[in-house]
Formats: sequence, C-alpha cells, structure tokens
Amino acid sequence: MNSTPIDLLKLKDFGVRLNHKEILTPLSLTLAAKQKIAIIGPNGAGKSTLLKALMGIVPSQGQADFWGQKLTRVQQRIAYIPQREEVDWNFPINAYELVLMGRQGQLRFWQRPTSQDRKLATENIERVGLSDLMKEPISYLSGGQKQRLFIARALCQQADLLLMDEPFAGVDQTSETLIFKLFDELITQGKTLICVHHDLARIPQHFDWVVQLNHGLIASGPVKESFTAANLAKTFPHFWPGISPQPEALTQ
Amino acid sequence: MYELWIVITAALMAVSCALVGSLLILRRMAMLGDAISHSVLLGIVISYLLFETLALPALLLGALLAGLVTAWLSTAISQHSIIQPDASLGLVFIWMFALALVLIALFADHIHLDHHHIVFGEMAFLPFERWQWFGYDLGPRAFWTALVLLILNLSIIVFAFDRLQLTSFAPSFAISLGISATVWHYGLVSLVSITAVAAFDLMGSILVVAFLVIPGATAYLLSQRLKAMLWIASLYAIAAVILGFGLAWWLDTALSAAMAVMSGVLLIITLGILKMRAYIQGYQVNQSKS
Repeated sequence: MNSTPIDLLKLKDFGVRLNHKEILTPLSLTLAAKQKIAIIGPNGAGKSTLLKALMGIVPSQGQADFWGQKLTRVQQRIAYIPQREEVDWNFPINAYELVLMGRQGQLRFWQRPTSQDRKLATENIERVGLSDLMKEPISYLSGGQKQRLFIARALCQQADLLLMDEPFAGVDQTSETLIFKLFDELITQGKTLICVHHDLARIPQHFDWVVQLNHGLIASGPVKESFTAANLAKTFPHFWPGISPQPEALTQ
Repeated sequence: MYELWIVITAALMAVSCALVGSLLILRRMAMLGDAISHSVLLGIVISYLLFETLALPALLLGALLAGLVTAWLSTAISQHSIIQPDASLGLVFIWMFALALVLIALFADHIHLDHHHIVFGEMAFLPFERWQWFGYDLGPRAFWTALVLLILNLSIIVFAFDRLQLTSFAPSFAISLGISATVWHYGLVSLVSITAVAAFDLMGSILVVAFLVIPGATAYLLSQRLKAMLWIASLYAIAAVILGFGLAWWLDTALSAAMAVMSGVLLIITLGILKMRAYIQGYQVNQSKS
C-alpha cells in the first residue's frame, strides 16, 4: 500500500433510491489511490448498485468526488467492467470489436478508431492471452474468456481507476490466476482497482483494502485491520452462528 | 417499366425498414415497429387537427412525435411501476390508437382514412402519381420518397455505426464512457418513426411491420458481425420484394401481403436449412466417435 495515500474517491452520504425504495443505504467513505480494493457484502447489499451509481448508470443522491472532481470531468480516467450477464453474448460482434469499444469514449460519434486505437485493442487482447480468439464471435467464448475480454476492453480505455463488478464470477482457475497477475501489474503501473468480490478466502492474499457493506457501510479499512471476524460477522450475519466457514477461519 | 418502378420503390423502402429493424431486434425492441404503426395514427390525427392538411411533412412531424411519445411513455411506465416493458408498450400503443379513433369520431369524421389503404398500402398505383419538374417527368413520387428515406437511414447508420453498435450492445457501458444511451435510443426511435410513416403510405402497415422485423430476424440467425447482419437483412428484404411481386402477379393478390408472406417464407427456409445443417454436423460427429 502507498504510504502517502492520495484521495482517489470521496463519498459523502452517497446512496441510491429507486421507486421510493432504498437500494443503496447512504454511506460516506474515502479511498486512496494505487491499491486493490475489494467491496464485499451479502446479496442485496448494494455492491453492484454502488459501482453503477458511481458511473452515473443509475441515479444517485449525495456526493461522489474522484480525485476531488465530479464524474463528468474525469469520466475518461475511469473504466467500468459490468457483470458478464449484463450483455447479450449472441450479439453479432467479434472479440476484437468488443475490445475496441473501449476507445469509443475518446471518439466523436462520426469518428472511426485510428490505427493507434486499433493497435491498443490488439495489444490488450494479447495481454489477456486471447490473441488466438481475436476474430472469433463473442458467443463462442467461455465464461473466463468473456471476463478477460471485458478486462482487455477496460485496459484499452487506458484508465487510472478500474471499477469491476464480480470479475471472477464463473471464471476457471487459469483465468483467475491470469487476472490476479494482471491486477499486480496494473498496481505497479499506478492504477487503482475497485472490485466487487465474492470469494472471501482470496481477500487477505490479493487485496489491500476492503469495504464491507450490508444495508450501509459496516467497515472500510486496510485488509489487515478491517477484515476481522467481528466485522465479517456484522457484514454476513448468516455466517453466525453455525454456518461454515466461520469468519475466524477466513481471516486467518 | 410500370412493374419495375413498383419493385425498385418497394425494394428501397424494404431496405430502409430492414436496416432500422435490425437495430431494433438487437435492442430487443422489435415490437416497437408494430406499436408505432398503431400509435402513429394519433400523430396523424393531431397534426391534421393542428395544420388541417394531410401533406407528408405535417404527417411526418405528427408521426415522429407519436413515435417518440410511444417509446417515452412505455419506458416511463415500466420504469416507474412493476409493469414489464413489453406490457407497457402494448398498453401505450393501443391506448394511443384508441384515442386517435375517438378524436377522429369527434373532430375529423370527414377525413378520408381508408382502412384498406392503411393496412395494404397502394403499391399497385404508385407509378401513376408522378413528380414533375419544369415539365420534366422525374418518375413516381413514391420512388423519390423511398430514395431519400434510404439515403437518410444509410447516412445515419454509416456515420454513427460505432455508436449505434455500442449503445445496442452495452448501453450501461456506453453511459460509463460518458455517451448518452438515452439520446441514441430516442434517435433510433425517431428514425423508425420517420421510416414507418413514410413507408406506410406506400406499403401499408402489414408490410412495414413485416420488413421491420423479419429480414432483421433472419439475418440475426446468420450473422456474426453487425455489418454482415445489415447487409444480409437488406438482401433478404430485396429478395422478399422480388419473390412477393412474383407471387402477387401469379395469384393476382395484394402486393404488400404477398411480399410479407415471402419474407416469412424466406425466414422459415433459412431456419430449416440451419437446423438441417446442425443435425447433419451432429450426425457426422456421432459417426466419427463410434
């Protein structure tokens, strides 16, 4: 972790209400740059909604500042990776075209991608190990390959902050190892990763900071201090009592 | 020459419908064309009541607004209630259609709205309504309408291809890039409304709805890239026009209905070939294993 953290994201009473229903309980927190941040919590805690609200995909209340500025001023510095099932994988495009979409934010609607944009797309497909499948329709890809493709598209955006919604869902061991390795490379390049994550056993090994949600903020802090049995018991009340694995086992 | 004008004009209209229809299918909005084909009557009636004319520009304006209101109202209802998007679209268009009938009965009972004309169009008569320019005969007026419509649709799709592809495939991701998926959604709805109303007069509502849905759906079965899908949909639309013209000539029946029937026949044949190919491939794999 960086010893002199820069405020990357500052939330103040940031929440989401849709149709008079509270989807994300307002929360306030500050996150520093250049680290791997996990957002954990039970189903319905509002983890995915938090990422969508941060990107302006769903309307939100309260304040959210990135690097001290509003989203619209820094949108091109942030890449969002949605959940895999949010798109139609039978859509008629190939892997390369999907990755090239990452450059759209830099182009006017009548502009075509430049040779530099195309080079970036090719390089990033290679970086996630999918260069053999570049011309394949996206419907032919496996779950792990689809997730890696999403990551390649985010890399193509050349963003400083990556917001990822369950990038490991349905991913095999090979893809998981490759993605974690990529995370480490991105951190050394000064990027920040915020990742909705379900596999609690991987948190101590792979993440620096953990945000715990369950109808509001339970805790936000460095993994070593915040990923405690007490906090996990509050975040996942169903772990307690009697259901394994117990929070103590996960934090060891 | 008479027959050729009909086939060329119908083909131009059919390609316009197939292009925007393909995008509707990818956005799971295929029934929007059907909805607009009904709700557009309200736009036509209101524009008639305001401008007291049945001239094409006034009708286009009315239809454009009706199309936008249909899309906006159905989205608003499904977003602010638990009613599903398809149900909200269904209730909005039929309500607008009914309201149009009430308005006609109240204020415009004397307008000549020929039911047969609306459903089947007047394709057989299109070569007779000519466009004269300083005494020169430039051909049927409908041909020029169809040509302008196709140029409009093609220009927008070619210029904004990447944006249309992105916002159709991943609207949430587009928003995360700072691109308004809503603007592109209503842009496409506008284009569909304009295309539908310009095509109604010639083709009738049956054929417009058929060409908005069937060539795109057929092309979706065969395509692995959006550009290919648009090309294939256009070719299927042209083939349906030619085969439909032949069928109508052979059976001496309505041109629009025959073209719509042939469009469906082409879809069934394509589906049958694909199923048969999959069956043969599966059989060959099983043979090689045993």
